[in-house]
Amino acid sequence: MKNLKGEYYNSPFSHVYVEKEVWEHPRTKRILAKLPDADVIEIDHYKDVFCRKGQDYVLQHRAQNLILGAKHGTLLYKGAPVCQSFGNQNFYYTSCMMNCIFDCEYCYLKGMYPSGNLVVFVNLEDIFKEVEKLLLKEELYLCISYDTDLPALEGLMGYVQEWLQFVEENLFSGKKRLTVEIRTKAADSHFFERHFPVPGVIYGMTLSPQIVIESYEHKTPALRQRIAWATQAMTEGYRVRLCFDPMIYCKEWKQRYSEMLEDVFSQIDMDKIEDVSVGTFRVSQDYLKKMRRQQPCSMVVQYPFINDKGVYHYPKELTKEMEQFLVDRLKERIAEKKIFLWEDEEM
Amino acid sequence: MKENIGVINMIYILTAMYAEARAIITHFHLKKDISHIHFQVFDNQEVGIRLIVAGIGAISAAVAIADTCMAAEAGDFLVNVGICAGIQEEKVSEKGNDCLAKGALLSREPNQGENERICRIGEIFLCNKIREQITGRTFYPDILYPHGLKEAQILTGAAAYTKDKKKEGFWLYDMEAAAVYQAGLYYFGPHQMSFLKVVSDYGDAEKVTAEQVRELMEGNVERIAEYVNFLQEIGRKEQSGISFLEDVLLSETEKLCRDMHCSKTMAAALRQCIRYGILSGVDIAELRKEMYREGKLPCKDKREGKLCFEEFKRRVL
Repeated sequence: MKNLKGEYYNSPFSHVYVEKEVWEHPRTKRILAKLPDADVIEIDHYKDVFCRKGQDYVLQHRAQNLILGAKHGTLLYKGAPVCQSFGNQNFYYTSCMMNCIFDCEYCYLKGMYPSGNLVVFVNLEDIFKEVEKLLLKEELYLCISYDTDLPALEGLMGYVQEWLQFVEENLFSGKKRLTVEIRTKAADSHFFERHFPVPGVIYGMTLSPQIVIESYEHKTPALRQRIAWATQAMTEGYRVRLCFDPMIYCKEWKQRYSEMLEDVFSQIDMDKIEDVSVGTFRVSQDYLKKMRRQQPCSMVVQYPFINDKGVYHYPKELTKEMEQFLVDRLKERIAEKKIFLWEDEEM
Repeated sequence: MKENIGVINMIYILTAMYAEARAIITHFHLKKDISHIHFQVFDNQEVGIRLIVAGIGAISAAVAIADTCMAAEAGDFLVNVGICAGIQEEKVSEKGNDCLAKGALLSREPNQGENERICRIGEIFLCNKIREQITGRTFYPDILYPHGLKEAQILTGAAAYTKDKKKEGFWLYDMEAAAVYQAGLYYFGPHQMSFLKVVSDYGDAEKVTAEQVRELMEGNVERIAEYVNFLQEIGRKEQSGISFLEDVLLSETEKLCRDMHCSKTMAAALRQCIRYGILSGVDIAELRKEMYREGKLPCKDKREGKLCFEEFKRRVL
């Protein structure tokens, strides 16, 4: 018997649920080879586990399990209005994974998904084909790390590597231009040993004040690590976007965000930054309702937000003050045209 | 509501037969609750355990759960404990042998030989996959906590297992687990349900006596108790902070709603504001008293109440 008192939760991916359909898929085999101690359970469809009734997202996330399946139907989605398009016309996103190993209390995934388990679609080649089809007609701006954090899972899944190869091949294929955004909070310094810069790929590093990271962004790297990663990435020729989104309110927010910017400005060459995005926390009312129910003691989701046409956000004056504060400070170091404020899209 | 058990969470243990329950009843010093007419129910309110002897089969299990688990809350658990048949003496198929797939999966080599027993009589398993044979529906209870038990997949049928039955790649066979899961889902989430099964036979259940069942369960009662105690600890841990928060929230919201003449909508907004205040470290009781001292509370009507709420919100945020 294990010592039951020793640990309260199973370690991540102690159980792997594998769809019959992908049982023999090379990616399934590759991933399972890295999890030799996991109990592997065969399932008919990923939704049989992921969409069960009555699941507890928060508890499941503490002992997160892995579901390997195949994605069918729609593989590329039009970008949602609450998401920043950075001025791109054909803005799409894709979900080759659902959920994240990081545990940010304010993350909309907690309201969007019925389960805290991680789903990985191993039929990446089908998504690539879909992208290629679209590229025959038009240029594409594609976010591939929205409903997950691909770099955080790179050691196990290797999906960033596969996307890089795909984008690079596309560069020389004569098709329309493909730009891919990889949003992340991961800051693995070994990333650069195994990856290479590709002109069509932008890494969107999300930055928050250290107090916000410690309070709400559980299991994520510290601010200094994220800044160091972004600095090294740019030195090595990667395109980096800084995302100050979502900005999170705390009583001393002005001071905390000032300190964060000082750290950023002192270490990152802002002239080399691709662009920056700014936006305060906002979430749909349905998601917030679920997030609040699941996290009754989370200060960040229990803030008395204002409901504006189905979207919850901080009171207008506070939203404006927080965003303006950050934009003003950023303008001192970066051209205004490189600063993208989410409200701009709305207007 | 729970009956006088304070902050202790309740573990509902469901067995089909008394012979499966006896060792657990003795271990936890459970006392018979004679208020139940249709089922034998044994309680120990101090430790937060209720054991229900449901009878054999799916319908008995479903009715027993409906009859006894209506008061279940977050932090409570349902544990189905009982004997089952071991499906053995077959060549283990590559796909069906899911749980043995650890390490062996990639080589695609079965790691058990023909006629080798997968499970021994008296061995206890925690089920991670349950299939209802009659419908083909499959259920997956969450396995979130370390337990030290072997895990297995179980097939639930309408009649006792015999060797000629279709095995569908499962290791274990019983007559209740799928029904317990489906009925339990009305009151519990998949993270709150566990299925502990002790192998009693290999398809000749008619030869198993009540005395043998008692012995099999006695042989495993320590493991079952350890598992149940751990769930109890988990439930307590998860709920302790929440209960305190909800208690303060309830009492403060009641007082302030009354004195601000809140409408239903305003009461909800006030409640949210108080919750945030408590979480952010504001002493809500002290703030309320302060507003009384300043003569801002109690308000004389709704209009004044609305202004007072705005002032209250400003101070909290």
